[in-house]
Amino acid sequence: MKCNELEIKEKGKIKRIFLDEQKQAKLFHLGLTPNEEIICKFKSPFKDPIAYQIKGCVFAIRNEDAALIEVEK
Amino acid sequence: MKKKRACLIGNPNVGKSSIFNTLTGSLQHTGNWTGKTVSNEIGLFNYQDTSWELVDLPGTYSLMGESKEEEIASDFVLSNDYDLAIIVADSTNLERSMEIILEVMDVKKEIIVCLNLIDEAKKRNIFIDSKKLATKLKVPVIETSAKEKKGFQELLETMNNYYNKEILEIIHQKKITNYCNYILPKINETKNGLAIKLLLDDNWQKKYELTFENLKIIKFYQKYISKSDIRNSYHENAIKILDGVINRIDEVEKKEDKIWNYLFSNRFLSIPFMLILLFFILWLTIYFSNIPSSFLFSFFESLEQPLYKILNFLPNYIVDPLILGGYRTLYWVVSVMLPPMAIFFPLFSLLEDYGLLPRIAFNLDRPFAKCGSCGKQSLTMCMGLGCNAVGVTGARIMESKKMRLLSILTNVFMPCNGRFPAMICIISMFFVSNNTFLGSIYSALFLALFIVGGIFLTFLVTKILSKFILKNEKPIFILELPSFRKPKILKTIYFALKEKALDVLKRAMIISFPAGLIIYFLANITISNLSLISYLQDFFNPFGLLIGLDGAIVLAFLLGLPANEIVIPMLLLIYSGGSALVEYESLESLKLLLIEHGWTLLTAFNFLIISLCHFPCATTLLTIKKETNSLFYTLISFIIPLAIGITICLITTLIFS
Repeated sequence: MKCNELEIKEKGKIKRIFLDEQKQAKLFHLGLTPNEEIICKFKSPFKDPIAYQIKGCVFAIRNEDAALIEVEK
Repeated sequence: MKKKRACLIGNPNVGKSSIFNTLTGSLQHTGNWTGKTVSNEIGLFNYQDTSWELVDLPGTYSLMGESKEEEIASDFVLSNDYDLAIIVADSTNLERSMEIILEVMDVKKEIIVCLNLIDEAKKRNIFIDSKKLATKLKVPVIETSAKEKKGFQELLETMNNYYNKEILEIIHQKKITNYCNYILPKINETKNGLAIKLLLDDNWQKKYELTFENLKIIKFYQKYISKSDIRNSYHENAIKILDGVINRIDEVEKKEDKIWNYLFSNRFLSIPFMLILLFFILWLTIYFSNIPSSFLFSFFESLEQPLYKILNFLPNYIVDPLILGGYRTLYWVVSVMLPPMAIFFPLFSLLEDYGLLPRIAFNLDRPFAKCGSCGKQSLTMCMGLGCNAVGVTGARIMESKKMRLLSILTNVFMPCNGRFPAMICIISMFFVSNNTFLGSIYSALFLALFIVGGIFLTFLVTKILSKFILKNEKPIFILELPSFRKPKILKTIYFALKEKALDVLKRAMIISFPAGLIIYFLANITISNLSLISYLQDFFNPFGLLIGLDGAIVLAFLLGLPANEIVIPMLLLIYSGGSALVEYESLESLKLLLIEHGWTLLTAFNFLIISLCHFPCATTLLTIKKETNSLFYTLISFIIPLAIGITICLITTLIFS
């Protein structure tokens, strides 16, 4: 499933990342790598962007980017 | 004394600057945003027999980064022009610091790792076995907490008595190792990190002045290697090293985080909550600045006579312009600008350091995203309500160049504190009376309507500009949401005043004194019994009437360029044919004067429109020039709002007649 389909407090394991190199590099430093566990923390009132947590780091990305991250429950 | 040089390196927002300040005893501002340090900060201090030079590098996640700050940091690390590298890691998220630690280890043997924010990590039930980490990395690992001043003695001892004979060798993937082994002997180097940098970075190949032969070899291998190969290689090492080092026992959310998170992410509460918060800051600013403003004003005013006495050895034609022109305009601007800035900046900085502002940016991102910008623009807009120059400077919080430009160019659509009073006074004179309680609410609502109009224009212009400005840049929006940290209150206030408020004030002063002189001369030099001002007034009159105003109003806005606050006093001066700026006595007398000069409801309405949409004040223009470093964008920021304002006024005039 896509990362932005996670509900709040739901956890997923990152399978594949289809983002372009530049975005991937930025997200890599936030801990976004295959096999990591990602948690949907909270959504903004407009449901976009959504905040996720990987290990100790909370960050928000827009749904168009999150849709390019494949996760597995 | 031995002389030594060390550098501080680490991710953004891990407390490098705090460590730097503690060690060197200096006061560099630290904030809860990422990327406060944009150039190398250098500090000196002595410890026992060693005199240290400490270089604080801009925060970076990796030596492979491409942004300006990342390049400054990686250039310094690779230059090897230092004795010791102190890597600062965030204990609450050590995984994230591993890449930079390993990368530096690949180029330098003399390394100390600081596990900073260790107290916060413990509070959140994250336990790090620092001894195990030290044995694995084979470098000293020190737990520090800048807040509790913990670990600094140990850090200083370790720095002075540094001795390390071997360091963990990073095992790269086979392909990378092979390339490094092939390249390094050719350039007489031994450090893998250097070969990796050369393989990835075209700029470095130039900087390193390779021979033609070697460059050819590197260019050849470059095709087969990518940044993600390297990153994955470091990542594999990191996983092995961290195995058994970090222990997270159901990480607890801090209580205050929980409350704020609830308030911010509740579907129904979040937006009203934020609006109330922003309104509250604005209200504090406007409400509390009135008293010091009038105090400052009468204080400076009372100095006019003594100044005359001091300068009485000079002839009148020099003293009058200096005092009635330059000095009066100067203190006018200062006394209306200083108090709101002195309140607004520190308040905003406190919220910024606490970590609330990123959350607001997060919640409001969606509507801005639709216009090609991002949620952080909501923050610069709020700052603009205080002062546009501040909003323009505040746009630094945006990483993307495009979004930054968009929010700089549209900031003027938020009416600043200098325009509010004039707008309120026109509203209460011509539209709703301000005398009763209900009346004051109506006039506030009327003003709010104009602010909403300004917000609408901001969105519209942002959307249109985003199609033209840097249209090929596809900005990435990644917003880190740091956990809430209690700011250092006094220090934050001090820095907000020193770095932001005084900076803006200085620019305002530079402009207002000469502008005051010009205004004085225009009002007092006469040709056949008419002042230059009245000639100018006649000159602008046809144009003014065309857009439903008159020559005096147009001229008042033009001469009000140094600061919007002087537009109404300017208008008074023109209408009454006086020789210097004066404050109006009462609203009634002002209204009479205006009606006497042919003001109608349309004039008042168009005055409000033009107040909202005209060129930014001179201080803001100077700030835009400084921030964008481009005359072109400064010009655009001048023309766009003016063109829109004139168009709207033309339309209303047409409808009205």
